[in-house]
Amino acid sequence: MKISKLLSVILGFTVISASTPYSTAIAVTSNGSGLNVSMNNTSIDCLPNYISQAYDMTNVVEVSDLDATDEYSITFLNNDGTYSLLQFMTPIKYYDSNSNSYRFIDNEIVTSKETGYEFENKANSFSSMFPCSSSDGVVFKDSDYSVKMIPVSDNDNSADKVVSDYNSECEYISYGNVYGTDTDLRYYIENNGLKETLVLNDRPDFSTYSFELQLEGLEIKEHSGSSIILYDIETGEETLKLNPVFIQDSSDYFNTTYNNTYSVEAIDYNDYLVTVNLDAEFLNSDEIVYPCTVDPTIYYTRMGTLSGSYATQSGNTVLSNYYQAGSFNGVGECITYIKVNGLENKKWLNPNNILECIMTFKDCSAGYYNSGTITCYDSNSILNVNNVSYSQLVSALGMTIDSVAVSNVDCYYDFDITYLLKKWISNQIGQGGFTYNYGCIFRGDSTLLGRRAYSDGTTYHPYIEIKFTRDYTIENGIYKISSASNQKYIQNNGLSQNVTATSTTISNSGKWRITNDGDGLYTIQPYDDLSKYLYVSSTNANTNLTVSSSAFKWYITANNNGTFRLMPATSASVSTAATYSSGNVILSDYTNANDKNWNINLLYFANVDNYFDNGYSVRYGETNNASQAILNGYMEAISDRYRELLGLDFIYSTNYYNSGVDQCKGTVTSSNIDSLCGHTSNHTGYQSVKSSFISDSSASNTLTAAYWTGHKIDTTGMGGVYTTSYNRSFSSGYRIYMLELCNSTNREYNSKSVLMHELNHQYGAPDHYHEILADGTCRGGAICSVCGSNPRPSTCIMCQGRMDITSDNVICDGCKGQMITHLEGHHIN
Amino acid sequence: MKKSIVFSFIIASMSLLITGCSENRTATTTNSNKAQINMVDGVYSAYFDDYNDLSLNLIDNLTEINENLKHTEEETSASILQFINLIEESDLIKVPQISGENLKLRQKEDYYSISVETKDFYNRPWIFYGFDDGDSNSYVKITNISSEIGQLDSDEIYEFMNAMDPIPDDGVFYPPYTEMYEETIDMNDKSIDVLFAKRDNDPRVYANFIYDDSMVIICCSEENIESGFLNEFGLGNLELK
Repeated sequence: MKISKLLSVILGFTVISASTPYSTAIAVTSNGSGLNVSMNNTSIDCLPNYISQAYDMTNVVEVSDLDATDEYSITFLNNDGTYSLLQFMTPIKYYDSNSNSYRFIDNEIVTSKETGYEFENKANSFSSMFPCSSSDGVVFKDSDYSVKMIPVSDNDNSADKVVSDYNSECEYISYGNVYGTDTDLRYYIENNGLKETLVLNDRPDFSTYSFELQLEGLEIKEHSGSSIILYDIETGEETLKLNPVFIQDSSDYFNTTYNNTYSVEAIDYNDYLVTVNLDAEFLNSDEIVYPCTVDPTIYYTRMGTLSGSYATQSGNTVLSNYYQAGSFNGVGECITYIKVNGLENKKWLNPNNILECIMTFKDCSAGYYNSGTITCYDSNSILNVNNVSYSQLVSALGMTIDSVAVSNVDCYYDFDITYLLKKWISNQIGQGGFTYNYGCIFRGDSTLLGRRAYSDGTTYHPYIEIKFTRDYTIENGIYKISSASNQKYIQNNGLSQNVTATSTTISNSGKWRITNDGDGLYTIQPYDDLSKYLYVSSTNANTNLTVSSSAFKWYITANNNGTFRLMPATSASVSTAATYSSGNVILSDYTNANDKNWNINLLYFANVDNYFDNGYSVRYGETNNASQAILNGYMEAISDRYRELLGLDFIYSTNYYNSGVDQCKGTVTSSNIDSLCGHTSNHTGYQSVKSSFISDSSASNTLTAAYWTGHKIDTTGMGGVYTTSYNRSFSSGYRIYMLELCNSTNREYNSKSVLMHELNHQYGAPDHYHEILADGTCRGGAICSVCGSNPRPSTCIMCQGRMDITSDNVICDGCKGQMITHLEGHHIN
Repeated sequence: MKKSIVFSFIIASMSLLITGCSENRTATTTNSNKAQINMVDGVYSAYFDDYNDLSLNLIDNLTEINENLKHTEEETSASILQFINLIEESDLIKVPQISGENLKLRQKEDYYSISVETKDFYNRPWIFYGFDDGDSNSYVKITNISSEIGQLDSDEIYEFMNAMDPIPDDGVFYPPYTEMYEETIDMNDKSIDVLFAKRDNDPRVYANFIYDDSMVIICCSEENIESGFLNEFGLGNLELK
């Protein structure tokens, strides 16, 4: 078989994966640690240039670990608290089984460690190895299969590493004059594979080029056509694709042809001769300016999140790393059609929290400098990216989404597709919208000469940026979680046991501590064993939810109807959510069905009405409005802690109150604020204060009335103490009396402490500080931290009184237990 | 004279600390980061981690407490001031000892080893020293009663406690003990009359006695008493730092 002088081979290999491209990376953990893989080198300084240079990092604070295990995306935390998720067309990370971690892809060409090869790519899930001599064949392989490509040629040329003329960061391997004089083979390492380009420096004598394709783990079934599929031998799945080929000349107008075909002949088992038949008429045309590029010749790619193509007026559908709009010589107008795939894996996003979505392209339209407009349209039809026609796209043009004026080349253009993304996400979660399968269409205005946006696969990667805020609806606290379908509570059944939902009655094992990790993700811990976490061993459907020692994280996203969806947050790409299933809780693909939605409620509720008088405002030299705001601040701080410690939903109000002491003094001033009442009824005595407040305020076993004053109050004799005292705060019945006087320095600290101490009394906690009463007994009794026979810790606020209420041990276990018993009595939410 | 100067200096220093403190809490510490003043419901106490902490900070902390309540609780303030003065006169703090060595303090997380409680028997400060004694919460508490002993002209513990009862005619012994009995114990090199007692719902034994010019109450397990704990007990002097 003489196939010398055969020419240009134009292939495009595309992985067509039937399953999600993300599951593989998650499943390939090497040490049995399930989903606990990590991301290495995620500091901003370690980002690859193709990210840090393409994206404006000005407002980036840090790299979030939100999508550490997602190969196609990276998320930044911005300085305004929002997040920006960049979703790329090609993978930017790969799973490194040696370190059980994810790393950024590095396409640098380095000296090969493999015997018989001169160069190889530095870091990716696949290896591309280049021999010294082209006749030894370039190898592309990953863990499942390999492809060896040997040009069929009498010439045998050595490999050179070359830096691209147009991009100093882009390297390639060049084999010169492989198919005769003036025919060079070039190999570019890309994030998603290996691209081979044949450069015809002068008009060739022939228009067919052949190479031998040695496959391992793959086979070819078709033997001719504009594209060829390579199938996985074991699974039968379409794995690689030799894409349609195009040739482009060096004129200013990019003369282009797509009239090229493949023919394949089996030589041996898994050994094929592949011939590319180029458009001879095009190559021999006098209008063609050489060199011509046959591009891409060999192109291996995995399906990314963005998929797109452009259709030419002349009738071709072009799948490549180029997107084109406007008029091109030889093919007429080009219209680009793009789908943002993978949104079924973004169901954890709340459409209401999406601030912006931008699709960014880099213009590389060398030779075209006229200005014009490119418009992004919604598509009215669901079209096939792989086989869409020009007329279909024209017919499908829908609502205008964004129009962008283009002028300069070699710069970035942004299209705002926020509207579309919200609709697409809403549709995914069953809350209206429409499917992302409609995609969007990019078309130039009628005068626009051809514009080309592209990815060179090595140094520039198109992406969409989704800017969003995290869903913080759930605040740190103790909650009960019940199915929206039947109100049955999720229940812990112990380490590694499946959690269940069998009862509409809450028990201790049905209480869960939910904690925001600060990055918008949540841990969910069984309250009866806070060393454990709600867990799934896989994000696959039908996986049971269990409890593990691993600090597993979840997305908790609010639905429009007040329920929530719980999704494992091992990746930014996840579609499954906790689902009620016959008494068990499993993962299943999220839809907005009741069995996949959950009610998340704090365990208990309590109300507090605050009353402050003029004595309070005058004491601290502020207006009534200022006092109200300050007291609300104290209540909010207490509310946070009660939610975290007890699962108590705290509802409060704060209002001015014309107290008995205020009335006694008439006009309250700093001069009379420390005066004691001389009336018979002793308005500044604690008993008068108490009786007055009882008659003026409402209170019940779920409503505490709190009186705040800055007047000097005589509390001598209060609480069984015989010594003189003033302004001792106390709790009595359904009311608390916040009498303690502070200064500007200690006011906030002391007020919060005393407030929590007295409110703890309202919910059943006893004092356990040491104080000998008039009868010789200790106030703390048996639990006194100092003298009791069964002392409670001194670090509890029921002993210390004034302490940092945010400290972990602010309420000791004993007091907490008593409070829960009390709350269980009549504060159930 | 010298004492007065030192005391004034301490007060001045404390004032600076209080007014210049940027933290929003009244509990300020002085010479050590360990000692801590606590106030809850108007009741002040001071916590110390060990003997060194106590010798460094006791006077400063009591002085600060006194400053906080001298205008509102005159009786308590007066007894604290007296307590301070008695210690400063000698520059010594009475501490419990076993066989001449300072009592080994408990080291229990979330519990303090030494505390000074200002609202205790006879409305005077007592220093509590917690110690390990099996599962019991055991302590020795000590207060200086030198002036009262002088007034009573007696060091009989029962007589002293009766005299100090704030409500002597209520028929209730103060503190509310049950099963009381007296026994003379050879304590170190002294022969001491000890009033043993128990309290309702409390498995521990209370041993009350006067040792030199201090009143001491030991609260511990019965087994500890039976094992001869008191025979090795004594009071030592800890110098103020």
